[in-house]
Amino acid sequence: MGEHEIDTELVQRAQKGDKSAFDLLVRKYQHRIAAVVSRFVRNSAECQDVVQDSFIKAYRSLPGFRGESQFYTWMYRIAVNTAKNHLASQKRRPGADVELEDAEFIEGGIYVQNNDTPEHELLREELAQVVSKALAQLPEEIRQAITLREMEGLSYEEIAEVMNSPVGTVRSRIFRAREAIDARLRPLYESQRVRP
Amino acid sequence: MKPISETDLEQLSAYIDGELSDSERRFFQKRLANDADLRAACERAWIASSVLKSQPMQLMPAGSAEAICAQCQPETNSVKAPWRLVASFAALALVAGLGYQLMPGSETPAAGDRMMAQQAPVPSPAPNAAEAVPASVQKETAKPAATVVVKSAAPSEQIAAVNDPTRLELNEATRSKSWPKRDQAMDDYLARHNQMTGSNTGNDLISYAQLLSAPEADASENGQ
Repeated sequence: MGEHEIDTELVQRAQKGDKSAFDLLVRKYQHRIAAVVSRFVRNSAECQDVVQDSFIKAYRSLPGFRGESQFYTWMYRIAVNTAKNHLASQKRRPGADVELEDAEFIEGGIYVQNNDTPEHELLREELAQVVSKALAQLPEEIRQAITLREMEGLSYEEIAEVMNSPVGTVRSRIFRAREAIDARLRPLYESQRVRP
Repeated sequence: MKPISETDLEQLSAYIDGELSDSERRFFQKRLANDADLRAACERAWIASSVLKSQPMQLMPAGSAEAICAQCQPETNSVKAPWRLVASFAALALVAGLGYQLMPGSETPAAGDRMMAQQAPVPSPAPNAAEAVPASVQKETAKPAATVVVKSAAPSEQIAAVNDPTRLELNEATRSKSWPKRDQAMDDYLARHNQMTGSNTGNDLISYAQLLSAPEADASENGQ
């Protein structure tokens, strides 16, 4: 079962009323959806509200989700439409205060740009540096295993073949890599997320 | 926040990669549903994964997932449930109505109303009521009553008919014109049967020999 099949299973459980399954989908995608919404809605509090509304709409629309597209793709469309509606309700135009040549053209004739605040930009840089440092300090075979998994998208079986190792060993190496990254990421993550 | 065991972290890592067996995955999902710390660790692993893949992301505040799920209510159930109930009852009533209409021997409501009107006894007016009503009104109200009573027999005639069943008249208004078919021979037979039953006092015993031989006797009498 691949990563997308896990999503499909979580969606099916959520469609049957299992809220813990939907909770996992929210945890998995809320930060990426927030990045999408932040390109339309600059204000951080408004952005969080729009993300929240998007997931609530998605939950209500779950009975009609047939799984023809991936959950993230479907969620992305809902988030973009919710962000557009939010701006329309406030009679605002996204990216109206930016130069056209700096903007990125998005579907629906709306111009947006990367609306990251310096704080968000700093946090993203910080996160990337922490993960990069943690990765650099890993033993070679562990780093190779997590790289093949995350960046190349190979399955455990394919990694085992590439590295000429048993699948159990691959599983253990990937877990060790994640454990090391999490040990560095956790303090930063917790300090950032307790902000009001 | 309690520390997470290595076994749990290893299971978690395999879970987010979709590399657990079906039974392991079901078991781990139950653990996730009941363990907030494990869910938080899962979320961090997804964040790390997004960073490694260089996917754009922006951290949402702590507790945002719980806040979102707390506001998630299924929209359709609360709205559709009463309509489903009403539609079910309407369908049931329709089927019952159609079934009643299609039953053999059932009468249409209009025919039933006519039957009730013709069979209903006419209330006798109070002694002084007629005096209180103006004459013009009395004339108008008297007309429908007259049409209803036109075929009703006097009490003395009704008693005589009970004693002599041959004098009973079939009610042509209520009698079905289509079914059963009127059979003169059957009518005569039943009339004789009733007559003999009425005159018989010996434990309802009827001489069927006499009953069945009566037509020939009548015929021979008429022939003579």
